Amino acid sequence: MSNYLLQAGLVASQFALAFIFGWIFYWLFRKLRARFQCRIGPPIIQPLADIVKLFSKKTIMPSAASRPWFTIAPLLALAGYLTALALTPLGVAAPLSVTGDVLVVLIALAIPGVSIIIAGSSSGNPYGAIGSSRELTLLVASEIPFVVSAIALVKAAGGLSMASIIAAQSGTPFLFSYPFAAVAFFIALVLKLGRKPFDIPDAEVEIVAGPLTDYSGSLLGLFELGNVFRWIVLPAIAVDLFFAGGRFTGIPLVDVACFLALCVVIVFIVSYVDSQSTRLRVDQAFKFLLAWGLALALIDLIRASTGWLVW
Amino acid sequence: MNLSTWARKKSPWIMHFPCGGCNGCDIEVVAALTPLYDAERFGALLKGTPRHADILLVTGVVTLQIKDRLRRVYEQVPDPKIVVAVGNCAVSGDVFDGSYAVAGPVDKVIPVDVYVAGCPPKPEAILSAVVKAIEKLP
Amino acid sequence: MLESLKGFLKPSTVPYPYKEIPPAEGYRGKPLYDRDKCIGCGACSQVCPAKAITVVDQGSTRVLRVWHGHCAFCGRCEDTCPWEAIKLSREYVIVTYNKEEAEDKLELELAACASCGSYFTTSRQLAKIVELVEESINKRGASLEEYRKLISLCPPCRSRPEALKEAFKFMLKMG
Repeated sequence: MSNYLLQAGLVASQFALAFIFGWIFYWLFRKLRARFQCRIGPPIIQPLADIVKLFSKKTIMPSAASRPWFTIAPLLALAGYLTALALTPLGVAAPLSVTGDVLVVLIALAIPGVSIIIAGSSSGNPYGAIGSSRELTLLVASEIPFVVSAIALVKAAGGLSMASIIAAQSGTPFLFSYPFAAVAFFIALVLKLGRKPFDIPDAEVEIVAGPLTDYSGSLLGLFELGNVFRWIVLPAIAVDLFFAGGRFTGIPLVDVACFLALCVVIVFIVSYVDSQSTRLRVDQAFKFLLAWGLALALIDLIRASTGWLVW
Repeated sequence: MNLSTWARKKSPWIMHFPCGGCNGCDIEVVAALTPLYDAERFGALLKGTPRHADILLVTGVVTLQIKDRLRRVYEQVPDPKIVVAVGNCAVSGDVFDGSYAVAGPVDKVIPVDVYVAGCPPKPEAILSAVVKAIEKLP
Repeated sequence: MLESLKGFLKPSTVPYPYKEIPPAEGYRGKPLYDRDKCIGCGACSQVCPAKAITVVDQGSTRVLRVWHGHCAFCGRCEDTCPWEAIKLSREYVIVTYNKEEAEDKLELELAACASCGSYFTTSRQLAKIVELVEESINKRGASLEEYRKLISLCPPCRSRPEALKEAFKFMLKMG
């Protein structure tokens, strides 16, 4: 019993810390994007102000929406990110770990995409329908390089848990031994974070606001909260898989500092790519992800499983 | 000032709704979002849908066709909301006042909180109107 | 690419309330009356295409009002005014909670008719007329005081037979 209480406490503290880091990384992304566009960005308090304001506004339920799915969608997104978060090591060991860690994390990270699809289709609104069909296309396209490169690393590490992947990088981080998988994973990461050049389904102005058109008030606030968690979970997994989770020394504080610094590097690169690119069309993005993403990830899968050309 | 009032003041999301005018004021509104004047340092983001917005910026005089649509868009903005009438056509009809195709200035259709006069008003005036408007949020 | 790295170090924003870009030389901001030069003739209100300028006689004052909420900032009033009394300034921030407050008002005192006592024009206009004709009257040797008395009659009183006779006599004196 006390073991469960201890684990629950550790998970809660992981969520609290992750909220703070996610807030800082989301703010950092907005500030960097603004700076790359030659303007001053928002102050650091901005993401918190956005979320609190959304919770204080009135929630309007559209009459054409199907009530249960409309309210469940943001909760599903939040659940997906939080499940992945509980299993992700943030510089020190994760509070929970099961044997098939990596698989659970990959599946949990597919759930928010599904929740956007549910949100769009249940709004009863043509913009939502178009948005959810675009999100479906891109979800299918992004899962492939994401999962294939993760499986390549699992094969190279020999175990299906995050801890074993981190342990297998004690010599050289996987970024240097499997660079193709790194590039494929990064492309899929930009899509999962919802940034240009792949930000079609996520709130853009072409089709009013896509799947989230009819959301207002607390439900939209839950989506924004999920967004804040997204900005910590995805860079954390990228750092864990390719940079040994920042664990270069054995000292916990130094490890966490290295981990955060590497996450900041990833956020920097993502915001630079975002500020320089335009938005690709759905079919262009689909072809790009399947051609380049899949090809690069497959090269490394073959290298990892057969042992040819491994360095 | 409690937490929700502070949060509403720090994060005003804008929706720009042009009714039938010459679009000069629309150009100035989107110019206010460019790097030279940068509305994002106030936390203001341009949103595409009225359901996400706090502040409705209405430009142009209200023609007979757009009157019902303006009323619908206004009702889709969740409370608490602020309406800013930008430009002289929205404030008082300007040169179009009394025309056969015009239903009137914006405050004949929806209640307006802040008026920005000008033909067209400069982006600095629009930004100071947004700042003045968020002081009115409860 | 390089531009955004340069912009990273030095943003090109001019943060508005703290720093301001001054408007250009000929910028047409809100029209404002020059309190000393205006004589209340009302020429500006007759040419305003948006009907933003109103000239209303209330009792013994004439109120000239330009409503900035109705103005198109075209500059016709500035072009037409013979005395350069209304100019488009360079102020551009006109933000109010109540649209009637965005205005510029000028009140001028009306002159009463010497015989019937009704108000017919502003005293400044009479003073201006006297000022303009002073030189030519003095050149012809007529009396300025008499001229002033003659024009202090309202148009109905001026067209009565006795007043017309006085005016004719004055014109004969002018030669």
